Amino acid sequence: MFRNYLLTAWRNIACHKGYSLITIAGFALGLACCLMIMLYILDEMSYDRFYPNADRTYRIDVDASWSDNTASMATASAPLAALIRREIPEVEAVTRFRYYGAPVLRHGEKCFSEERFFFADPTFFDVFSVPFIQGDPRRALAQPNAVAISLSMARKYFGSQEALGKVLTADNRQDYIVSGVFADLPPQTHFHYDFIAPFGNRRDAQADSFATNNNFSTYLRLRPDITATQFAAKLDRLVLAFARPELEKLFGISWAKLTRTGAYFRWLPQPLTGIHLRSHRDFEIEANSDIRYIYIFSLIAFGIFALACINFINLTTARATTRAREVGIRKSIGSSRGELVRQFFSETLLLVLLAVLIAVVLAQLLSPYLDLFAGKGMPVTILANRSLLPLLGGLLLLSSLLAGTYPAFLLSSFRPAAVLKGDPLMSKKSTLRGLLVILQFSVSIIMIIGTLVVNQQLHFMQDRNLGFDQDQVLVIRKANDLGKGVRAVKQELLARPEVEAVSSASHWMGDPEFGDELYKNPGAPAAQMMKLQRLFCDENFAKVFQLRLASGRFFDKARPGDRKGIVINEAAARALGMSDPAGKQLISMDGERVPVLGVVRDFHFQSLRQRILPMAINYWGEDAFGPLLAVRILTPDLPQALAGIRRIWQRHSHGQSFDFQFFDDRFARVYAAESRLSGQLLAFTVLAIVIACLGLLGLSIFIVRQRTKEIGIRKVLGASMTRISWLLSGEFLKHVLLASVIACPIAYFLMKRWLGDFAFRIRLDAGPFALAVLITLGVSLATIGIQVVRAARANPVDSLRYE
Amino acid sequence: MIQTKNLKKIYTTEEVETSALNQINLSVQEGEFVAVMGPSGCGKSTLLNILGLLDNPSEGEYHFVGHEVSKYSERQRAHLRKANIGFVFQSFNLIDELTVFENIELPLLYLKVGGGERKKKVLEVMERMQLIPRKNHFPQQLSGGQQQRVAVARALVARPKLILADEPTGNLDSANGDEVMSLLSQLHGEGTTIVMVTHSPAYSEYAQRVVHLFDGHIVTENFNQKFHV
Repeated sequence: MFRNYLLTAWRNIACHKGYSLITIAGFALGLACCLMIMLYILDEMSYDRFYPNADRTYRIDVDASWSDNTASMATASAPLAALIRREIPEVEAVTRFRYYGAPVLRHGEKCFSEERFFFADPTFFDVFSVPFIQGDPRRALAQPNAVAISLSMARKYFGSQEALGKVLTADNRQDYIVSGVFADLPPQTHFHYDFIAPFGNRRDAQADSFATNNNFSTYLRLRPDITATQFAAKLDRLVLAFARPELEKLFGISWAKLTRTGAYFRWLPQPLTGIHLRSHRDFEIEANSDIRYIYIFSLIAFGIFALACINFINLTTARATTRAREVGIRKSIGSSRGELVRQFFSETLLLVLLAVLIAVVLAQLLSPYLDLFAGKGMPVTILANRSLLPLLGGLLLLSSLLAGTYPAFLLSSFRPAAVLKGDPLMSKKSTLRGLLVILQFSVSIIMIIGTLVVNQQLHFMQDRNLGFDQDQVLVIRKANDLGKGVRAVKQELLARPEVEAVSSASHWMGDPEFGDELYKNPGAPAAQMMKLQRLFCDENFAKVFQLRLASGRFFDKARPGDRKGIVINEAAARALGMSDPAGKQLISMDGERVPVLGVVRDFHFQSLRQRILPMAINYWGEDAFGPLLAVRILTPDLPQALAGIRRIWQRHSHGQSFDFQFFDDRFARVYAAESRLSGQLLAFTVLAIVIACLGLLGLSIFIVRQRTKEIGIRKVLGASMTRISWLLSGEFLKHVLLASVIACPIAYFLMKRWLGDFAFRIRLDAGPFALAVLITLGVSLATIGIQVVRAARANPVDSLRYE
Repeated sequence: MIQTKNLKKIYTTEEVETSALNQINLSVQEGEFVAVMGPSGCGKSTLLNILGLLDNPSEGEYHFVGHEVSKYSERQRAHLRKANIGFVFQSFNLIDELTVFENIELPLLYLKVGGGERKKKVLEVMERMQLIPRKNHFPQQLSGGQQQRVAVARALVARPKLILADEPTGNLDSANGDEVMSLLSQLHGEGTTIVMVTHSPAYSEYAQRVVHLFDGHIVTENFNQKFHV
């Protein structure tokens, strides 16, 4: 019997090619989108789970708040790891690591700058147990000059030779002996490392303050017999015993008074597997992803899946008129309703199976354009993904059930006596079908509004005056590797006519985090120490970035006293409660008096997501140099200017590579997430509209066919073509309008929430909403137009005869 | 085999009640061939649908092979139908997506007859209807007469006790119509009970008894002399 079902189903698909194509194509497109999004979500959820005992591994974070300051850090103080090991026996292993910048490593002729070089405690591989290919993970970091490297690095530097015992020289200063080679990490980790060297005698690693200098990523593994909550309670007790006395001393008031003002200081366990999606603290090792994107994409996947199912249901039930006779025949020769339900389910299953197979191919073809896995090293082929088969199985079953149930029960319910006589089966206006079409339009409208608003916000951020000039600035990285040679480079650069100004700096504008320093207004109590973002630069910084002064002056190299002073921004002046701080002094955390030389107008040194934080610009003076050398260029002929700058660099660099980037290119990366979201939303919206249109096209074909006789009669009675067109399209238009009534408030709510994350954002006005409704109206009219016009122009005699 | 008592069928729409059948008292004996005649809209097809268990009466009793079936559920009717009744329709009602063989096979599939036996029975009936050369054709590839032969074959294949034919010659030319009628006549000769709706006085001659309907009532019942000599 099942063979008969499949046979009928297959012949049905083959006989009604147009219908089958529309149904399967729409469904396949929807499933392809869902598939890609689900693979992406599964990939995002799999972060760091490859570590054995990942579920028992935690990072210690620090949360602190006092006055108007809050600090939320992914790093902790140096002595905390040892303290935890000593005081909490349920901790099986604990380790710290820290990043000190990318050294240039050399082995023989091979020389590279290595970004993934970390210093760590010798217990590093106890917590992060990765398979070792050579060497012993327990002893790999025992010697102070040892380094454990990843397999791909071993191949990069030593080719097929054994890496163990080989020497890597860092920055021409320090030799490291390779003590172990570990397997490459999968891309799905929040922390990628290729080189781990022991702290050795580094002084900062031996610091003894529990509450300040939170510079160390601290990770640990708990025994199975303690829960995270119990562990957190033990950490709270450690705060009271060890951090409290320090904080009381720092702020000069008792803990009780401090906490009464709302201040707090906490050590918190952060589960390893939650870091990638849920942790957005200062001093994260890498930029993490965001659980909100998982929610957004889940919503999109759900919406598109709903669209695809609705299409399927609508097309199948619309075709019920033509299937009804078959139902009548089958019933009259003995089929029970159950058998018919099974038959229609088999048909759905076959259609969905075909759609799923096409979806896999489509997903493979479309995924490069949707850029969901941007730079994450997803497997090149979707087919190679381990999660694919269970996912496909799940999708197949779920969609067959969702899309197949209603049509199967509807079709099998027809009374044979009625359908064989040719009675009208149901009214031409099916309420359910109408509702489903409205739902479909609503999803499309929400997605269009989302795309428009995200795009608007992106442009707003990209076009906004940032308070500094980012154009025509070239930044050379790792300039400090030249040591004092930088001074000669600067002088020669300034001598060139196309160079307007050159400045050393510690940070890029747009970096997610700067260091910070605590200052207070001399008149304020110690508890009102304010956190100011810290940037180091030389006297030309304001000129290179065209910063504007609100009062006072910028640094002057002719005044040696300036090295002790700072320039603050207006936000800092406000935070410190000083109306005109230029010429006044601040008190630093160490109690030193720091003169404020000037106040610069606020500029967006970070993303527009954030409000402008208080900042203190520090002066390096002439002898110290930062990693970045920013060059403002006058000429529009950039290639020529670049060639000149490169020549100067090469004269002084002793072979070190000329590593540069244009500032505006780099700054654009600040909005990479929004930019990617905007592109992805656009792509998914277009796909959603295509799916909805396919459904609409199929539906309009059936509705026009169903009303052929009515159209004929109306025309015989004198209805014009326009009247007929309106008659047929009116219902769809009503659906679009109803859908906009549903969709606009939902979209408003969703976009309001999304925009809420941006300190600087567009005003949500009627524009995108109206445009979305217009687009939907236009697209749906265009889709049904051909059918409607054809029906309206047909000779009435034909339509009556047809019936 | 068939006995109805005061059978009524009323169609109700929002505002109007239409009585399609009224006080129908009809009995059909096993092996009998009955023709039902009457003008369009007199209730012939409604009666046939009720007799064929495709529909339930609004009132009255219907005894079919000893069961009172007027209140049967769709499931019960389907069960009784597939074992006992074969249908032949004016518009053939073959399934376009199935071949001649598969169309004829369908009732046996629903009766869950095993593969080997099914094939044997289908081929037997096809041979009798001279359809073997058309075995793998689809309905659209056949003439009207051939399609109706397939429909008769399908009605026969499960050897039902009753064959209901709703204007089986209505869509056929006279030659094909004659052929179908002689087939039905043969079946009757072999003992099959047949109830046939027809407009054609000539074809009603094939029946033993002709029941005339008018506005939902049985107005006359004539016995065909040729069978009663």
